[in-house]
Amino acid sequence: MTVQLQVARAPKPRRLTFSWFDLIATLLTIALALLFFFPFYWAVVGALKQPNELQVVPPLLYPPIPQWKNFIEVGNVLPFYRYLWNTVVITVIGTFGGLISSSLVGYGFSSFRFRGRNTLFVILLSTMVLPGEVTLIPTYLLFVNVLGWGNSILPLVVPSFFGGGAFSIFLFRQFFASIPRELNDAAKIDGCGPMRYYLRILLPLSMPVIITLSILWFQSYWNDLLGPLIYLTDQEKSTITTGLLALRSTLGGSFSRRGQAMDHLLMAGSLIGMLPSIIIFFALQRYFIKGVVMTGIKG
Amino acid sequence: MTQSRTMPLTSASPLGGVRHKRKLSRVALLEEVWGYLFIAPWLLGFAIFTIGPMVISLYWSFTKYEFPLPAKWYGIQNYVNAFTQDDLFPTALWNTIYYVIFSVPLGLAASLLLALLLDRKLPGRAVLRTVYYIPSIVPVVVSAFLFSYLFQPEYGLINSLLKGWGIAGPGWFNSVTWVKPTLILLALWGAGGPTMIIFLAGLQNIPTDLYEAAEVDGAGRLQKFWRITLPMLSPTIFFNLVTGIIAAFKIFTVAYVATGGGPYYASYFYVLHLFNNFFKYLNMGYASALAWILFVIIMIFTVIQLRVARRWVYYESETAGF
Amino acid sequence: MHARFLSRRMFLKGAALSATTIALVACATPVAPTVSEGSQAAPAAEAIEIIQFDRNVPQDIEFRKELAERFTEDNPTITVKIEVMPDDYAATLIARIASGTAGDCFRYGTHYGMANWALRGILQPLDDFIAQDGYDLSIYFQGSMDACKVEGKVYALPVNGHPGWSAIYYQPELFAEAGVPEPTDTWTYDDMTEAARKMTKGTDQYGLWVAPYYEATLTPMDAFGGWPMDETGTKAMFDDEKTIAGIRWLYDMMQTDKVALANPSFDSRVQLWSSGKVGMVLSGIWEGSYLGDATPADKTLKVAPGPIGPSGHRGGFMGCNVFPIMQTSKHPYETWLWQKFICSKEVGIENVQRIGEPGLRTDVWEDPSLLDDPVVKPHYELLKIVKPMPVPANGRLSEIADPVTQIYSGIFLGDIDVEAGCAQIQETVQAILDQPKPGA
Repeated sequence: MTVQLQVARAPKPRRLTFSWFDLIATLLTIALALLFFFPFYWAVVGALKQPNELQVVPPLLYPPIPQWKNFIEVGNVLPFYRYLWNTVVITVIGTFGGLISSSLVGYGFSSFRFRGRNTLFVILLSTMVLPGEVTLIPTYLLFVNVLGWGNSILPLVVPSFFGGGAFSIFLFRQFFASIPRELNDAAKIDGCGPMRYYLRILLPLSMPVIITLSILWFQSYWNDLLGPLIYLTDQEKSTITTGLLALRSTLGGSFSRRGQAMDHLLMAGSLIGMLPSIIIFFALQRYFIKGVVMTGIKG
Repeated sequence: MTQSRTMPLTSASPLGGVRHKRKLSRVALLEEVWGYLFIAPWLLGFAIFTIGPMVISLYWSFTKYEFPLPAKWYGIQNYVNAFTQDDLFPTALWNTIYYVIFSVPLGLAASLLLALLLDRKLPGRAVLRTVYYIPSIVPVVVSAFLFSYLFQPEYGLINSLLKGWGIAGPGWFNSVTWVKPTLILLALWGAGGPTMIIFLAGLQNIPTDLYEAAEVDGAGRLQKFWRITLPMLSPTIFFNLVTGIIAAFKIFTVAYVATGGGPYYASYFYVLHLFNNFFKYLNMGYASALAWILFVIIMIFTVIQLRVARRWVYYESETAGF
Repeated sequence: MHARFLSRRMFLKGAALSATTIALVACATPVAPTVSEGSQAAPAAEAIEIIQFDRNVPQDIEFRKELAERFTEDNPTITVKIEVMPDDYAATLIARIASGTAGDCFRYGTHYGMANWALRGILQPLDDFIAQDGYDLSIYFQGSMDACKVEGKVYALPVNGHPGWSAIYYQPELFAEAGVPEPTDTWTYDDMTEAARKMTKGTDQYGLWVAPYYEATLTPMDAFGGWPMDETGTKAMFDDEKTIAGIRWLYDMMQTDKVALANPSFDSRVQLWSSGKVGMVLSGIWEGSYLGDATPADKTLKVAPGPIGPSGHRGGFMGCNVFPIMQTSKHPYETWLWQKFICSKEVGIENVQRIGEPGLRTDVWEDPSLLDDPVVKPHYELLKIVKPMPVPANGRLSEIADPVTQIYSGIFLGDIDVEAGCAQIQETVQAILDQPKPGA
């Protein structure tokens, strides 16, 4: 018994037909794109302004004299590029661990029947529910006092190898569940055990999900604030998010400080921080593969 | 065992798949073993990293814990106080429920719309998707600041434009009636983010031959959407709904950064109340109780969704359950 | 073989000998004195490291590290390690205290709620060290020393600080445009209000900017003779006519006369200032750099002391930055020495150039570099007279400040009128003041 899968190819060229629907849809797409691009544009413009131009009224939509030096300045005020490297290390390791373990666990929940499965799944979901603020201190005590992982990246990356969080497991489970059982049965009869099925068939089929989750994992590690804040005590180990905190001049409560207004550097730093996420996203999402065609199961 | 199945599945129905009879128990046992094996990483991680802190937090909720003085047993008093003594509890809960009710459906619809728009064969599709995605990775401090700046009631860009058209703009973040809608609007700005790309992945997963067969049968655009896209997308919609509701209940950072819970408590969300009690007022016992109350509320919502899911979520594989 | 056997035995003997020696040496070495309150402790002979948590402000960190080096020059056995905490470090600090890794001292503020920590037993009282060293506290401004006391015990020395949101930062060009004379030392609230009215042009330009937060509103409240609570910190005073008058003045500025933005965001003062759209900003000593950096090219920044209110005096409060010592510190006496060092006169003066907030010793203010600095000097008048930020007797400062600020925003946006709002505040605050101390 063989199963043939075909990935859909590009559709055959169609006659050029005009459609109101298409036109409106396209215009809407473009209009929204401008709207969504604005905050990025704003960050770019802000990064190139001088402090007294940043918040004027009415707002300046372009920098009168672009201060390219701001991008260098950020590196002078903080060891910004070291923070960048730290963030890369944590993100890569964490993403890798998260992808492997959550796909395995998602497969387990979606494609096997076992006693207690539904209960365990509800427990899994429940771990997403409890606000992190409340388990923060006990978790910190666990990592630092019990396990001795204070001031290291271990508390940040090791948990990702153990399932990586309910969100990814849940997502993989949904996707694996939308693949017909016949595929599994066919593979079984071919002598393909669950592990090989997982590796050879399921994973390649799940490319869109894997790519989606890679992007999401990357982003979640890259932008994580609370984790590095609490667990990385040496300033040299800071990530971008915690590093940029030093540049905020206007956040909550502690007004009595002097600092030169550094919002323009905050913009520059934020921009540099955003770029990898954008690049990763752009690079990866091109590989979304459209559709799967089953050409049938021959008995 | 042979099976034949004509393809394609033109009669895709939202109501569950085909059931098979229970197999031999030896095979079933093997399946159990494999199942546990695959979920073992999570089970292990849960046992080591998660359950301990959860239990401690639950314990604290039954104590009067004025950090760092020792925690004293308090029974259910914290829970009683939340419902009877804390004037802010109903406010915080109501604000959060309001946010959930409005932001989740709007957000899902917006993300779905965006995913559909971007699923088409457009030139520069990759660039467009990236652009749509960007607001969701702009750091909260930057986007909240930008939003406050643009929506500043007296001289912000938005109200200035409205004034030019003869409309008196509302107070946006600085108004008791408008602050929550403004926060929802800010959330919608991120509609092109993770939710959208999950929908996109879901759309990609739909076999194209389903659409082709439907076209052969003479189905129009709307019919294809209702009969194929939505049902095939239902596991994804379900996922985004469940995770979206959980996340909306826990809204905190943007209110903390942009509004501080104001004005006049209008954006004082539940987790903000929890945070204040835990880290500012250092009533950790009470804050833990607040957390567990929220936990129960969200779990009730989640379990209801899981039950109802059987009626509308369609899985190709019938092992999934729910 | 023989040799090897012998050498192994010799090796073992040698090892045993060295082990014993090490053990003896370890026992003989005086253990670092366990200092409990008031024990006589000479600086230990071995090297001691003190860890200080400090806020993540680059200028602060740089300056403090330099000070640490100078301190070690004077006290070679003691090194001070500055650990950087993020600005909003409630979560981190608490986590560290919980896990027992909280260092020896940390940067905090008496107006952030130091009393709360003191009452929960986290901080080390300093009275015994002060007595031991014969340290003279009268050198500090009265208000600052009062701010550092909780239940009569001293918990920190005032390192640097400010008298609240109490000075007028203004752009003289806008005054000239409107034909209004600039602020003087004898200005009253009426004068300021008048000037604000003349400089306001609808929503295109505002005469005044005032902040709507608990600590900022202390300035007008004080000037009108009111105060949030009585000296014992057990009775709320939002039912006092004078307190209400102060709040009403703010309301009038924002809603009646509309010379100031209603319930403004913190950023809005920079937004208006950098566009030349606000004549006066009633704010604190940090604005020398914030507003300074945001001043447009065609305008200048000048500072005047805050106006005199109907009470006959200017308003403000004492906000001290302090470095309280942890109860769990293993070297509290050495940390105390460090603290005295950073509270010296020289450092207090340097504070102004390096981090913008002067030391709170009266002799610091004899230095001409402060008195001649037009941006700094106007605060001097206020430092002499301001009272500490009012803190409840039970230490629950943030539990009060938060609801007050929330209800204020309702008042200042016109959603609730001044009387009703103050009544609501009175009820809420009194309920919190009635609560027992933590741990009771």
